[in-house]
Amino acid sequence: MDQETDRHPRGTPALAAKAWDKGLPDSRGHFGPFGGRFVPETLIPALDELSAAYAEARRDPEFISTYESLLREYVGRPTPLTLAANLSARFGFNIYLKREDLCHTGAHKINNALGQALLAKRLGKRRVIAETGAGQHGVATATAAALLGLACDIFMGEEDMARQRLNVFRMELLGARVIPVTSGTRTLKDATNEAIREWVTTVRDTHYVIGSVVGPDPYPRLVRDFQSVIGREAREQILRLTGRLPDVCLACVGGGSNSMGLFYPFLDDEEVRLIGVEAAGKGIHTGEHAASLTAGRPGVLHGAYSYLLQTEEGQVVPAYSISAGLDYPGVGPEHAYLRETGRAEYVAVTDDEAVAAVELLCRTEGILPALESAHALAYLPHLQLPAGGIVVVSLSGRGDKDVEILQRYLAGRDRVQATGEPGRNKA
Amino acid sequence: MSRVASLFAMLGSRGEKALIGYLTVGDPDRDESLARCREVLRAGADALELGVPYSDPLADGPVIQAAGQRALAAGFRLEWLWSTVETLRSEFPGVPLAVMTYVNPVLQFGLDRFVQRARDNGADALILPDLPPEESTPVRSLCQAAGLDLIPFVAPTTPLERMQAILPGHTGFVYCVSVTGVTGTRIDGGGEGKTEIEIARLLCTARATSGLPACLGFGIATPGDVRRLAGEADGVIVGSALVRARTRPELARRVADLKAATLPVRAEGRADGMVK
Repeated sequence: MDQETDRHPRGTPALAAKAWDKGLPDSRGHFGPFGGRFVPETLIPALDELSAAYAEARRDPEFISTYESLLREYVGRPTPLTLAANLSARFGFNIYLKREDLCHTGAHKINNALGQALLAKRLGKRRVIAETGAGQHGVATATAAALLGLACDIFMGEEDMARQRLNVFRMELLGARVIPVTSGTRTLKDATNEAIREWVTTVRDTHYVIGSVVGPDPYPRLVRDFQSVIGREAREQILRLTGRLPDVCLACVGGGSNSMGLFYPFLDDEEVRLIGVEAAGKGIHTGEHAASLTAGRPGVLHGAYSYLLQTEEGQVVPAYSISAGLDYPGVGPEHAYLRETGRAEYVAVTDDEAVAAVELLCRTEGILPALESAHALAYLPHLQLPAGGIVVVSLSGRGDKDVEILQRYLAGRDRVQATGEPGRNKA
Repeated sequence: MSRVASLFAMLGSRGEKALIGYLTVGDPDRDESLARCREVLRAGADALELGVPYSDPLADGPVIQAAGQRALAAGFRLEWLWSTVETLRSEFPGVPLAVMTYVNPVLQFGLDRFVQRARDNGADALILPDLPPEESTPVRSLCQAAGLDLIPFVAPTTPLERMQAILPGHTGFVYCVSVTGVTGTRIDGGGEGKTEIEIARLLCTARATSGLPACLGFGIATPGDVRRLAGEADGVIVGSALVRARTRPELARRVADLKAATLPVRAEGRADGMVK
């Protein structure tokens, strides 16, 4: 762990190594100092109701078997754990990809959307709403709503709608209404604000399907639990395939749902390093990034106390990343807690590094990863592992949605190279 | 007795409701914002809520969101809030002043420092819409020590048992949210009087449970709203309708009209059919 300390200057363990506690959050939704409920009074009773329904559902064998059979028969789980042989040869250690890109709808988001849509039915709600950035969570929620017969409205920033036109069309095909958000930054942050405002207004008949391990309690634990199927499967698979636990688990972190899903079942395996990779955008020093754990400070955003990008006076600063799914100025409170306790490490890679990782995985393994997932892959060159070392990388989604962005980006990069202008920071 | 408590005692004895105005500090700029605050108080508002502009105002509708954006674009800094409070305190010594802010700017300034500064500059109360009682213990003890009222909220969704659990021990008044919604939401009674009855019940329960005056806010825009919805209220809070006023004379007129609606109903008022 020491060799990485210089890569995350703010990530030094603040507490003793064993101070983290898997039994969290506590009864008030706190992970150490993080988490909680910082929302208007109108929503508190709904959060209480959701907590109670979730507590019951977790104990109800019928709920669990319905959820599990949907994961199996509808989502296509378990997803494979693929040994990336060519990539492994290149880096000199063994790289296993947890193939969430092969889930129905193309990303891990469906694991959570189905779980929450089932809860919504249980609560007697007739409608679900959701925020979306890249559109993957919106598509997943629209899919779950179509399957379970719920009305569905998706809040999406105007700018993201332009960046991810294909997903907007997919959501509409699935029968959802996509509501453009024109306030603030017109991206995921403000789509989330708008979804919360809508929920405040329609809380009696509507369930809000939050897409990441963010928001007020019980959302961070709810989403973590629904996503932890990723880590449970991966742990079982790697033991079966290699007979031992991995040295490292690697996943990208925006809000942090796929990483928390991968990390959670490994928390007690203290020999396994957990590394979350944030989006450094154009570079941390430029200020244009989305690395809230690497470069932010604790504060309140979207109902929870965690790390966020903010001014000295506590105004939230817009995030930037080439990846719409990581373009978020906050992060889940449990990640903040894992960072503070030193149980997980957090690092950041740039747009350039992420795009190079997309190209690398395409050419070596024939897999087009989402730009989000490419951030995790982009950290591989920084890892120092002995031969025979094992890394599990969460390949959280497929990259079809990103081809237009990649096209534009690569065209721009080639132009810069052709004219010999400086500025490209090749990984 | 605190300024807030004295105000309600005085108004109560006259059968009057408090008109609490809300403005966003720094909207549209530092000087004009202060001028508008003065205007609201001169035109007859009994108290003023000073809103801190915030990048992510979850409880606010489009009007107050836009006001916050204008203030931030004009370069708002917390220093503007402190100087506004200080100036208004010296010009309107008896009038209750409340600071309304989302919790993050308070946390970044430092809870302790924020409460001290608010008190030193002459504020009477703190209103934190995204700080429910479950998370407010540290702020509450700081406010108590400093003699500031931390204003509790209740909403139409708050069950009776929860009110009984969260309200006791607070001071100032109870902020009763009239609708499930954000600020500036239009309250449509549907003509059946159901909304009116629900609001009256909320106000009465909040007052009985807390032993404090109950004030109604969110969606109260016109004198008609005050008469129709706030019959049981000890005060009304009007924000979006004031923020929307384009000029200072228009602002003053709105405040005066709203204030008139908080006065006790005269016998001839009934005869005129002004009140159901």
